[in-house]
Amino acid sequence: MSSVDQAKNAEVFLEDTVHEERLDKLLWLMRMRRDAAARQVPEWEELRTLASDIKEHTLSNLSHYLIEFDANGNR
Amino acid sequence: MEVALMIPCYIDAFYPQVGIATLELLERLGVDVVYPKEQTCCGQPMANSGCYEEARATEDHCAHVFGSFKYVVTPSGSCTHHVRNKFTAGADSPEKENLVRNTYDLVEFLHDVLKVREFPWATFEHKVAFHTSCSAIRGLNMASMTERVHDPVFSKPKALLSGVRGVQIVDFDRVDECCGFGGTFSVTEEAVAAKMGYDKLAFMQKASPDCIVSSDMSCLMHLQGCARRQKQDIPFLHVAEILNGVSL
Repeated sequence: MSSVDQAKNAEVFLEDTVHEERLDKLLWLMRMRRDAAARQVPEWEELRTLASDIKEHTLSNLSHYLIEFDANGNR
Repeated sequence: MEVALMIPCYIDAFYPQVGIATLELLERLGVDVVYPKEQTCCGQPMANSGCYEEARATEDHCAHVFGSFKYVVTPSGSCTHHVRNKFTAGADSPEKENLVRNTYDLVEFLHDVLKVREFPWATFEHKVAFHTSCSAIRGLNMASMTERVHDPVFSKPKALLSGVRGVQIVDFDRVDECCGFGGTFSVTEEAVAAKMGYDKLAFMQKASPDCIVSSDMSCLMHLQGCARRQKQDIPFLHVAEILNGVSL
């Protein structure tokens, strides 16, 4: 597998200021929409924490879930 | 009250006036300041570049020098964050445990321990664009995070600054986005780091501040470098300088 020169690629991308500015605006617009959505859900932070816990639990027990998935898939 | 003053290496080398302002400010507030002369560095530059082996001796030395004090104060959110939350390269010892527990950023120490809110010796009739570092916000909880939209809005450094006569803190967009410095990030990812710095300056400039202020001089070192390359001559100040009564 060839390695990616992230720093060099970023430098080339940033030289194209038109695309960079549009991407920046778009990404920030997504952030603003995300904030607007979060404001409408009072339990947003609890849900984030729960999602984070689920992710951590799943990654920590991945072998168990993969074996279970395999067994169920082959049933 | 006895306090050991820890002066970050980059402040010692590039911004000695910030170390002096911190010392003078603490002494104005009646604190008995001790400056251990054998101090060097907290180890952060090595540790957060992944060089744990290289950080070990420095962290051990830091723990040995500062490990017997009840309060260790440093004018740097990132050094405080390193000592409090990331101090894992050196050997475990009672001295290290003591240092980890007793290290405070200057703003935290003034706001939470001394609970100072007024700085009557200082007047600063200027518009301030205040930058809070990522380590101060996310590592030390010194200010609320804009993405946590249901949390109460607060900022310990701004609360202190508003105790200085004349200070006008201006609002700008994307207030808690990173300045782009990120320690060695600015070395390994120079183009992105510089662009982030230029963006940060542009958002601040829209608010027409008279100066740019932070509780982390490392962020300001990066932003100042960006500003110089754009031939902007706006002053950059550490919050300690304003609280101590500096004039522009």
